[in-house]
Amino acid sequence: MTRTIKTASWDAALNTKVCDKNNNAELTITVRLGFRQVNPTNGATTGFYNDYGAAVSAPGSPPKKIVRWSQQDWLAWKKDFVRSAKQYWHGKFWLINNHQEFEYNDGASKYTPNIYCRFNLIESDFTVGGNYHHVIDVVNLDPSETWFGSHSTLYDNLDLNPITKGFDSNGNPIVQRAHVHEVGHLLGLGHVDEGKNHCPSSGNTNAAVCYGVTDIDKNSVMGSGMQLRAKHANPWRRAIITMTGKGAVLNNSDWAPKTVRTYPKAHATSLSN
Amino acid sequence: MNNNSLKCSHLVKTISSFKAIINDVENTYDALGGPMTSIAASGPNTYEVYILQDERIDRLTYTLKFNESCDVEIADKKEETLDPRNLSN
Repeated sequence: MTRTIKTASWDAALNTKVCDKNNNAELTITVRLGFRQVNPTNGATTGFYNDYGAAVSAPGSPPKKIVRWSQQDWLAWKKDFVRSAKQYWHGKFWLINNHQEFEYNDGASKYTPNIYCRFNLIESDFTVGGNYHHVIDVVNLDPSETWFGSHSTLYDNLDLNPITKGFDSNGNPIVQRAHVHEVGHLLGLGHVDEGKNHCPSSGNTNAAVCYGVTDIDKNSVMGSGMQLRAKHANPWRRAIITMTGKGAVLNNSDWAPKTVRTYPKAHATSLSN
Repeated sequence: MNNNSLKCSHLVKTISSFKAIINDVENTYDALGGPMTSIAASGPNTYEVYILQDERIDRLTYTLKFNESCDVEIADKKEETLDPRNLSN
């Protein structure tokens, strides 16, 4: 059986044909990205571009020097982006099937599969009318530049590099590769402390406190770090809940995420009985 | 010029203000990903500090006060986050 849903941010496909006594159903979220080069204007090899792509410079921050993308650098950057983002988000969660959905027989036994969470990222160069969930502009900084203000739809060539974003209470560095955080946003995930009293969902959820105030939250990928939390399985949980009509995201026991492979559940009674 | 006159000069008070602000940022602001791009006066004894981060700009507004000896003290501090996509002149 294959089921699919499409949202503005991603598509999801459930495949139960792979189920057997060892293998769970596979739920693949696919994000299609249209990458667009930000190059100097008028065919120049170098130019300037404001942080965040803003119409005016940020206070005290002159426009950043950018260079024209070479085809070689562009292809290498995209390849690295896709490979590392997929590596980070793919295959990290198994959702426990607490609704007895998709039961099947393998041999003499009956099984209930769990849901293996897959992630696929399809990139192509942006063209007008293209079929993308998100369009991402990418700046190529001159080697003299060391920092550029990025956001969820504007990256720079340095965003794939690990950056120290802060330190925890023990003085340990908190490091992040910005693009895996931004892909989290593209999946629909908010900042780690969004919804807490100090970061209400109705306020500015990009405020510094929304990136976490405790060590564990600061280290979350949706804070300033690189660590996954169970909550980051919510895009897949939303998808399976939509597909089955069973469960609710706010109920933690529905399609509860595990971060270790959890085999299909074998039922106690066999068909031969 | 006696020592107090020197401490109470506009330039030295400005320098004291910058030192107090930088000291406070160093000890209280812990998001290290982006640069501090500006500390600028926005009024008498009021300064705005801009720190750029991915996805946001943090603006810290300091109000300072001086005692009779012209020692500086932070009287108030406001922290805001600006949406960088809405920057305007």
